[in-house]
Amino acid sequence: VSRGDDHLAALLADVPPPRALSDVEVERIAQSLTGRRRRRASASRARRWWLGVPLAAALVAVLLLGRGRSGDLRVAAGDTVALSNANGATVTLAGPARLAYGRTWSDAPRLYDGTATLTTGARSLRLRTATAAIEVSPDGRVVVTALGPGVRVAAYSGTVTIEWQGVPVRLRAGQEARSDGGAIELVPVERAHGREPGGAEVPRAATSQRPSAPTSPLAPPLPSPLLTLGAPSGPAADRGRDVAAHDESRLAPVGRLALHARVTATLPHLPEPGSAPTDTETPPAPSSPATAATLLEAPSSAAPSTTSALAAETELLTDALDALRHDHRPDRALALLDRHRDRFVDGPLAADAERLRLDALFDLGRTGEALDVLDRLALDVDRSGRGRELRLARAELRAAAGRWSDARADFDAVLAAITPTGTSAAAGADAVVERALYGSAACLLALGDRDGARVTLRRYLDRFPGGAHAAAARRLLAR
Amino acid sequence: VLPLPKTLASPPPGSLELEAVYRAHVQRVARWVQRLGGPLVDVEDAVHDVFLKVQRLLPEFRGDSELTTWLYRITANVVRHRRRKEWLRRWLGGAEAAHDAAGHAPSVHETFEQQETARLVYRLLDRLPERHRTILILCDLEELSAAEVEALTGVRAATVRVRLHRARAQLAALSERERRRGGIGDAEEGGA
Repeated sequence: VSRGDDHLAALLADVPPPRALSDVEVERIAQSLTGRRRRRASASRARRWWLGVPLAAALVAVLLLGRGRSGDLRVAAGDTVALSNANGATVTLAGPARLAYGRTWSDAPRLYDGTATLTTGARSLRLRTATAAIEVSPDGRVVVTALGPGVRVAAYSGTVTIEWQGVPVRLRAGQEARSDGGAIELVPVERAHGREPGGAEVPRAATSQRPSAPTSPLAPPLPSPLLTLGAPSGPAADRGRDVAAHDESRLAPVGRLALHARVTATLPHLPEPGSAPTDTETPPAPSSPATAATLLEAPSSAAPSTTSALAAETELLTDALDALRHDHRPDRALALLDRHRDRFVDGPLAADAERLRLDALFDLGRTGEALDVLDRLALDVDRSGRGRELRLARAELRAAAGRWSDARADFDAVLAAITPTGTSAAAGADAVVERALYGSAACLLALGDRDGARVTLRRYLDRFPGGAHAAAARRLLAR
Repeated sequence: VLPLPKTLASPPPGSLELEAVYRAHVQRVARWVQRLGGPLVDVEDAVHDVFLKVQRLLPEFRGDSELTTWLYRITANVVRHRRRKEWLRRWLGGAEAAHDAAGHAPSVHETFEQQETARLVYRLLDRLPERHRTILILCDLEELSAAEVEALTGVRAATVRVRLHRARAQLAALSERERRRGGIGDAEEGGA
């Protein structure tokens, strides 16, 4: 291309060439980067002041102008408002209803990893969940439209009708419904809480006894306390934020039932039957400061209940979740999770804690430790999208660590689970397949199987011709 | 071995030590900073900012692009940000506010006239759209080929040529206008 302007060319030619940084400057920057020296504090401070003050003023103005910490959504009688959660779950409010929610920079109610108080008519449902989609109709029917893996709905009083995949399921007091995402199972409440439906405490040993005949044994158990509808009565009912504070009408009609929900972290699981205490095992003494039960100020005359222990464990995990998601303090979340591990090493939410720990470690960039955690976890790719994601992350971390064979096994497991013969083509499955295919090809290449790598790369290109790694794949195939 | 996709995976061990990246690329980054930022950008400060960002982002670098491309993008962002701040400072505090950012003392190789010319050229360049300005700097000041610019910026070579053509035309028009006003002529007389 001709410049077409000699004058301009001469002008550009007169621009002096860039100078090289002197050795002193290079060392000065290097020292600053390694924290050995603070450079040019005064100049940068003055510059920060220039921009910092208007920015801070703008921020304060925005905060003062109504971007508060909470919001309030009211739905008039006869109206319906559908809320979409960040994870795709939905909550429908049928008026008259009110939703109080925490908000940050958006007016959109976000229930994801948050707590909301839903009131409709005489009902009050406090929920905090990432996987449940719940509708409460004006006639008082509770409809769970997307009971995700690990979600449990328990009725402590009255009756609740849950609609699952178009089929109404009636929950009576003392029953709970669980799902692994594909089917629903009804089991007695005390199986997880160590409490009789009527509120009487039962020994922890009894909680490990499987019910002889579940109402609807449609799926293998996947215990995970997430939602609790209704209020357990008894002295512990007023303690702990996860327990309903009032019980308007035990065994009352659904329309007058007060509903409360408690949510913990994702995908909790109960200990295996074999790991539960035996009948002869005595509960820890309430005076012991290390027992979880003391956290909820259990009466000293009574043995600490598993419910209060569970509540304490839940509270600790909830705090960790808050620190991670809301405060963006993964270091604090990790500290809380360490505390959880000290107190509840075999707690029912131990697996949740480990998954939360993973998120915190990833946030901190401590991928080596994350891989250690992932190596310890049993990751079931068939059960949930989360399992596949974690398995994929483990595969990539293993590959990055040079553990090509292990990585390839993980990649292949993910691919096998998600192909048409596998479980499901869930939302986001394409992205998972794309990463897994490319990672698998990388492993094959690293292991010396160039033919296998070529085949996998062709599969990748067939399916993702415009994928993120398509150019790299084509380059490799062209060699 | 295939570069791993951008994921949670850590970078290949040994290849992305900050110290090594810094030592290998600091002069290149300094050169980019001066070319993209012009005479009003404090080189040492800007290079420092670039490597602070590199320090923060290096664990996330997966090798999806060349390291030089990645560094260039960081540099371009830092310089753009600094230019905006500089513009704001000048707007808020008057023209004299810009001078304390000029940074280094002129080297023995830089005459006063050269500095004045550089100021004039960058004053004209600053009136171009960012994408034209960048391409013109890289092609006509750094004397990179279209293919090299493509490798550095990710802009296709054909697009680079088109933008360069337009940028030169715009700059020629601007310089002509400036010359008629006497700005450039004065500088040239001073430099003669």
